[in-house]
Amino acid sequence: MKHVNFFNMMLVGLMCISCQPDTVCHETRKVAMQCHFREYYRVPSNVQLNVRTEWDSITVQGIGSDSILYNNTKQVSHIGLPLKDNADTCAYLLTYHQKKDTLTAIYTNQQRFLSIECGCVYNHKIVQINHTRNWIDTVIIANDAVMLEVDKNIILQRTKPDDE
Amino acid sequence: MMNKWLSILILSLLALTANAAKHIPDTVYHHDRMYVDGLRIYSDSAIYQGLNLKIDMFMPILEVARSKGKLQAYEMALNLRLKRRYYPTIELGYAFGETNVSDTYWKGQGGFVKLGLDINGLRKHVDALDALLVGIRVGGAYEKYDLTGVRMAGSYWQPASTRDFINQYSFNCWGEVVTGCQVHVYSGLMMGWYFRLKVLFTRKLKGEEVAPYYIPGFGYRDNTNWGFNYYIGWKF
Repeated sequence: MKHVNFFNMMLVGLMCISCQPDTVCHETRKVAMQCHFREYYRVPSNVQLNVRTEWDSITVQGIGSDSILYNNTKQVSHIGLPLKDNADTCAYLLTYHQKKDTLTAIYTNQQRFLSIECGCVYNHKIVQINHTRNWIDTVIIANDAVMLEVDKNIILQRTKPDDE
Repeated sequence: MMNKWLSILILSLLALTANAAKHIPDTVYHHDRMYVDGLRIYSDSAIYQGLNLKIDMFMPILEVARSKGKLQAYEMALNLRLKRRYYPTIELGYAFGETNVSDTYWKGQGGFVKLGLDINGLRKHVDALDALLVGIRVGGAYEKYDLTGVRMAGSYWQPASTRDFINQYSFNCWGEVVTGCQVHVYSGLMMGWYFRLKVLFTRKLKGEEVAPYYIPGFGYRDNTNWGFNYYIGWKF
């Protein structure tokens, strides 16, 4: 019965393995509509359009909120716009080069349980994006699922005027 | 302190298993039937060669120890010996408890059943009751639970809050690979252990708002888990 003793020894080792489950939340819980930027601009010496994917500065405030989400933030390639969990529409005021545009998202909500340590978050599914056209030309929905794993939901496109 | 006593108990039980193998059996024949230590040994050609009923002694102690007395789990197993080396097995159990994790309070109870087959990798002789077992299981558990104080993430628009989920029901299914042994001690008395690697099949929630913290028979909810049983049983 040497094998029984061998297995018993193995088990003593296993007893040393910690068996207490982790009780700390390691996941991020900030679900936001990930908004990217694409600006086409023309260099005088070149006929073709160039593309820039960073705002040189952007200010974002939720309509109906007193606090500013991004305040003249420099050199950002994307911004996260949290959507209201208890509503199906949410609007932001985006200011770029002193021009203001309103971006309105219409969406559905779905609660998602992460774990007992992390609790719940709300995922969203974008139905429609409406916007004014002071500096935003087009909004492209790249991925309508607003959730933790998705890093690109919409792309704001504009063509920089020659006189700007 | 509790861990110390737990270790002593485990080591004692393991030592007993090892020593049990040194026992010299008393073999007698009566009406053409062979008995070893009063236990009937079936004929070599018989398909059915006995039944073992085993009660797990380890998981109740482990769960009480690591949950600091807030969780209890009980398990028993019934296996048949067929064709000298095959052990179809059914395992039944029940668990209940409550615990507090990061200010979220879980309270639940439920039962489980596991079906599977073990193969004896040891000697194939019919009078050899000791067995070195390798097998698989498919388990299912149904439970009722409450989760209160579940954290709802805050954002730019609203502060963080909590929510209660009362009277939730959940069915979970998983697979196991098991290895272990069983040793004949005296007469029909058997002892043995199983080590289990478990893989949860029902990882995604289907219609449920939350998931249970603990799954009876599987353990703390995760994609994989391990388990250990130390059985005391009786061979019929």
